[in-house]
Amino acid sequence: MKRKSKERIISYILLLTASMAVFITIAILYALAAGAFRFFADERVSIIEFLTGKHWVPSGGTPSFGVLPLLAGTTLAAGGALLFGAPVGIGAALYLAEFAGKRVRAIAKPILEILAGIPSIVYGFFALLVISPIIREIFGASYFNAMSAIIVMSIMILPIIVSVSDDAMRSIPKEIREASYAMGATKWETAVRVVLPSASSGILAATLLGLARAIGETMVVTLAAGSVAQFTFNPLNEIQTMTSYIAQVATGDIPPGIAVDAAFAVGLLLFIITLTINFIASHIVAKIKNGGWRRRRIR
Amino acid sequence: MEKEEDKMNEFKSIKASHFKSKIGVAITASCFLIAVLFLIWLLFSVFSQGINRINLEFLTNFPSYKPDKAGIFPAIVGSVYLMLLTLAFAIPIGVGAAIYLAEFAGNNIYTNFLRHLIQNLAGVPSIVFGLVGVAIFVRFFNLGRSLLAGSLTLAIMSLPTIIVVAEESLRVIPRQFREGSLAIGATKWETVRYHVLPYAMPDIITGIILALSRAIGETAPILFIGSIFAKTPPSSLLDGFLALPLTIFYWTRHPNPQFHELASATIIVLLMILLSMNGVAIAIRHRAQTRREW
Amino acid sequence: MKNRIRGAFVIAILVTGIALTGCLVNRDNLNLIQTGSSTLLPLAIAWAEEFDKAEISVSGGGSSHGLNALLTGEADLGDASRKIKSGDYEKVGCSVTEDAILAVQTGLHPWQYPSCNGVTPTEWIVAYDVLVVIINPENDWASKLNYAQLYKIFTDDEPAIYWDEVPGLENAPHERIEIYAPDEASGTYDFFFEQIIPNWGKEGQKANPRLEAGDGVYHPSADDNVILNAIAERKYAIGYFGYAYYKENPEKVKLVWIAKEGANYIEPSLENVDKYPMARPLHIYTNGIPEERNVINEYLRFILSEEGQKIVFEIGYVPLSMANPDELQAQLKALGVI
Repeated sequence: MKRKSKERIISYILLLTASMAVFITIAILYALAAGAFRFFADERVSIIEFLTGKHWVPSGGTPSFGVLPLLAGTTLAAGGALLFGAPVGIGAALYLAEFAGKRVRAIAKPILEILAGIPSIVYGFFALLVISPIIREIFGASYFNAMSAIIVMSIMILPIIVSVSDDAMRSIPKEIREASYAMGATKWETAVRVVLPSASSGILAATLLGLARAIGETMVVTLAAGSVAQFTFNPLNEIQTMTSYIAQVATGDIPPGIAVDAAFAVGLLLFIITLTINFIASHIVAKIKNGGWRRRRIR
Repeated sequence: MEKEEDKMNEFKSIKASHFKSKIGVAITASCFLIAVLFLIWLLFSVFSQGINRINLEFLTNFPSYKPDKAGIFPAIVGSVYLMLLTLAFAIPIGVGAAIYLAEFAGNNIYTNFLRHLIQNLAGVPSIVFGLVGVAIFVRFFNLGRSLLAGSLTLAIMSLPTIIVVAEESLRVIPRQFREGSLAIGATKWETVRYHVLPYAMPDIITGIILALSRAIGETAPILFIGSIFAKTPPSSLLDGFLALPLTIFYWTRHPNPQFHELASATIIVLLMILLSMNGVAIAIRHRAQTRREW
Repeated sequence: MKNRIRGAFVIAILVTGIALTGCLVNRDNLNLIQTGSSTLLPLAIAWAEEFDKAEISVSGGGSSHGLNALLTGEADLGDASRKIKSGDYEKVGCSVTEDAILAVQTGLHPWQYPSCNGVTPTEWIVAYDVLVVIINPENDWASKLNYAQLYKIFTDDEPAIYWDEVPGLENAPHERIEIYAPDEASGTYDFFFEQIIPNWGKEGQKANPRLEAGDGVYHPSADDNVILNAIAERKYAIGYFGYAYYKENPEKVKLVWIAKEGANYIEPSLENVDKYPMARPLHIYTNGIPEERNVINEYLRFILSEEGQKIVFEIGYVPLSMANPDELQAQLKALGVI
């Protein structure tokens, strides 16, 4: 009898620990929503102006809270990172999955793990103190510029793009490739015309995961891309992303009150965006893991 | 006559496509090479800038405003305390949740909902955890900008990764282990505790170490909570704290370029710590693999 | 065997946890909390380091944050590069008029303002900050500017677009003016425009800062590094920030001599602080005048002492003995030193 009740207690305790995930999610939503609510409740702020305004001036006599400059900054930084990182990542994955020998694959895994394991603050340091001076020298960019962050972030997202794409490509059965070789195609033609299209949904997922990672990145953009919120898509300019505004509130001279609450509103927006992208991506990844490729017809 | 021409053309096009193939392989290989070269460049610059600053004083002093006297001792201790406390909070809950999901849970709506939730939590940006940490632990629970608040924040951030890894490690254990134990009348918990968990432990520990190495290097979650300056390490859970990534952050932004060198020296220390943690994880995994009985 | 390793691991964690918890000491008098203006932050860090009678936890966050923390009791010392305003009281639920605040601001320091939530904000001056206008080292036409010229360059009231449009600089090159300077969150910004725009912050403010003109001439930045490097690299750029920052990199930019209306051009330097028009006091606010046994009293004494003021000079601010010796004496007297 004692054993049975002990067992039941233990299973309830374990259920409780698993439900911590729920508590954490509630905590996140509460923290963001409460702050955002405080922000929107202020008479100086309107949701419409927030979502469509082009001026982000959180302090001073007449503050203005249009989030578009921050969104533009995030788009420029993350989009730019993806623009460079996705082709390089997919290319590297293709090489590792289709062409590389065993030895190369053996050292590739640790190298990618190291790249993934380097803390983002180290990448930020490198972006500001090594890459940025070069960008300034060659292109005459401002001291803080989006370009230096873009370059570094594109390498930061490589590990995730490579590993998910690689998984997707490997999950395509040998027979498909062999059929292609049997018809006289070269390794390259097989890779590009057979493997790539079949793995395309996995590669898409990889790209989305990389994008979400770049959007959520804070330290690289805070250190290297600057803190001036302007609506621009010129990578030589200084920008402020959603994440670096929140970081500025944590460390800068932002007066308590509405500007701090604005950080929660921005955080809420950021949370929603990354959640959506991750949700879509994980759905696609789940499909692959369950042998989803079979549902795609190979032309 | 025509056949000869056709054969020539066919031969040429085969040669051409093989040539294209070689180019293609070279291009994709260079993509991989880009990553490798970048890594080498990054490590080299950090090391060359910082290596001169590393000496015993650097490791035992506090971060003075004078660059020659500045050290990272309180930051190292702060990071270590943060890590230990994060472990203390995250392991029981994370492993417990994993055991529940892998061994006890039925295939119902709530369980699937939990799994989805955990997956999604893993993708939340770290700065959002920073906001949550300050709103919930610093203000709502009134812990102030303390070691406790910082480690709780890092713990909830690491939890999803730990749960996913631990659950995976438990699932890999073959069914026979459980069936043998249940057949002789053991309860589910007894089965897990004595017949499954011990064998999953090495993988679980490896996963925990990896989750922890992310936590120790993260700056964003503790940006709101950590301090800028302290002469001594924290002496109680409610004290303020310094941490290695925060010190790197502030010194990188310092106007005096000498502090940039100090920042790279701190990076070297942080990377060394991460390297040893990962080394331990790999060693554990290796030892477990060789001893594996299935 | 594996169980024992795991057991030992768990025990190690528990022991560490208990050891840390066991030391749960409440904040006692030997731990002070100081927070506020980022202008004072380098000073605060240096003082906290050299003062050994207490552990001082220092952080930034801005003058508003510092005053707020003092009024809510969160901090023992609030650093501010501006004076307290009725807005600071309002944020914590008290109501004090600007006139009530003005009434306090007579005579020598320390100034004790109306209480709120049991806290009596008491203002001390601990140093002066010299605000310098800087230009590129190759700029030889604008090395001396008066307030009227600054007005023409830095405000949106019919601003000059080219350097030779500035009255008195007709021989300057016909090139566009570029401004790199602090953003509107900065106390330095506030102070600079208070100097050159009549009725700044009040009804009938004569003009707005150039930043608000929207012509892209004023490039704001919260980071002095940016300002410094931008002006160092651009021949036709001009800007301003605190002298302490110039001191870190004196070869990169050139200082401008400033003249207020009807006065002479003064070279910006710590020695000229009593004549130079753009010098502002830096404040620490405490809760009342601390008694002699109180460690806060000892800390303030240290700050105002020769050693503490030497640190001020080293970092690039102006010690009180140079700027305003009367205030120094008055404050030391209030602390019971003299």
